[in-house]
Amino acid sequence: MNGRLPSELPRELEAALQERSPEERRQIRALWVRLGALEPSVEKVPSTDAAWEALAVRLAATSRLARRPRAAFRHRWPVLVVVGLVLGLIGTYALLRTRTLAVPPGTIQTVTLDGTTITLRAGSKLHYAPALPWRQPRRVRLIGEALFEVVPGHPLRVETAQAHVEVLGTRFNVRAWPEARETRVTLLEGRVRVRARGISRQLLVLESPGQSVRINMEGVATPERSVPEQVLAWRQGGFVVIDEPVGVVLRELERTFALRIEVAGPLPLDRHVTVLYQQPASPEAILQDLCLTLPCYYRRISRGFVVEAVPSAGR
Amino acid sequence: MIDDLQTLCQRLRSSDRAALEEVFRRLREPLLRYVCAIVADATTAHDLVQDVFLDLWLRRTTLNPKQPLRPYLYRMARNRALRYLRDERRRARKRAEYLPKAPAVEPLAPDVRLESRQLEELLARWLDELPERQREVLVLSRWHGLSHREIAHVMGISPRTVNNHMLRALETLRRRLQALALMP
Repeated sequence: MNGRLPSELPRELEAALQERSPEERRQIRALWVRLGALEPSVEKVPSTDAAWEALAVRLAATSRLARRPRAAFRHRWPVLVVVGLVLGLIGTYALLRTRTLAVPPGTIQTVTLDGTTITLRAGSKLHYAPALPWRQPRRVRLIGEALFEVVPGHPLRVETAQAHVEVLGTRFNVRAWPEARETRVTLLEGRVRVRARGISRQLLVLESPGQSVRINMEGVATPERSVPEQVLAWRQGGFVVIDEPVGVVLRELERTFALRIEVAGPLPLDRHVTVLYQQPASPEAILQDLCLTLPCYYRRISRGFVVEAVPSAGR
Repeated sequence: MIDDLQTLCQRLRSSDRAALEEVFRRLREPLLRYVCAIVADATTAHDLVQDVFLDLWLRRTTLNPKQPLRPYLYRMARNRALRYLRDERRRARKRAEYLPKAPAVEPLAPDVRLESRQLEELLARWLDELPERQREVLVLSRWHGLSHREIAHVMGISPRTVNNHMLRALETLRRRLQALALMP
């Protein structure tokens, strides 16, 4: 049956056998020849002619159903859809993601968000999302202190840890430093609505310029009057802190002048003080002033100052 | 012959029924032997080979004329046969039928002079006892005259592995023959 098949070994096999002994090679060749005669014949099956007849009948029934060649894109479209979705998601994220503006210590920065001019104090952070038609009013989140000058017709909502301030065209200062644990809103022009974020959810409207209000987690304090020039002194390089703890004053000095202040010894950090420097002042002058009131000592170090308690004044 | 098959493949692509008949007449018989060597049942092998050609006709438009037709058909037949065996095993397991084992060959004393007929039977049995892939490589190469490259394509392994399988199979058979001192 297999007479036409060559009885010599395939080329590759012959090559692999080169390193064997001649005896082994001879045996394997003999085995190869013997294997050729070993194939069992297939019996009791229809002849090729009969088989073709049977196949032709089946073909006639199915020939119309030739499978269409699969176009290349049929394999690729799920991949394309997935790639498109991923790109879309990335694009959407890039478009909608919240941006953050962080002002380095020792500088003041100004940004304009669709009509609103925001002047940010040193060390502040402003988080804002891009303006979208279905996100009205525009929201920004403030950690730090900033002056907002909002053009009428562009509603804005300023969120801090303690309060929401909603505005329609006005100027106001928001002071919300993390270490002070309160937000102080000072109105300079127009009208703002302040809502506490704590459990109280108190609502307060500031209407007269110069009104100032403090909001902490307990709620909203009664508004007090403040001098706009003092509140905004930071814009001209001044340094004004009204009735706040010493610790806050020291952090503010660090940020405003980009230096380091270390506290050594027991200082009354919780004592409330007021520092008024409406004109630009050097940090050393401010520290000297502070140390006279506390009292304390200060000394220069490479990148700032060390503030020490006076030994005799120790508690 | 190879070029010939490739022109037939071209004609098949353009839905030429006569080309299918020619391929059928040329390759049906070797495919039948091959499938029968795998499934060990002539009627089943016949059915499977018929299905292979029907399938070839159904997918004629997707044939690649650069791809050799013969290994391609062997591969189709092999896939079908192996699938059949797998299903058959599953069915057998379900029925939990245990076929009586073939009677063991009584060991031969080395000095027994064997008839050529007996020797062939013995070799055939040893061939069946080889590992599946080694046996398959040997069958395709010796009985079907496929080259190493073609076998590699049919079985989805590298030509180097084909050669290794074949060497190992031949070595096993040679050792067994020698152990019985049947090798001159």
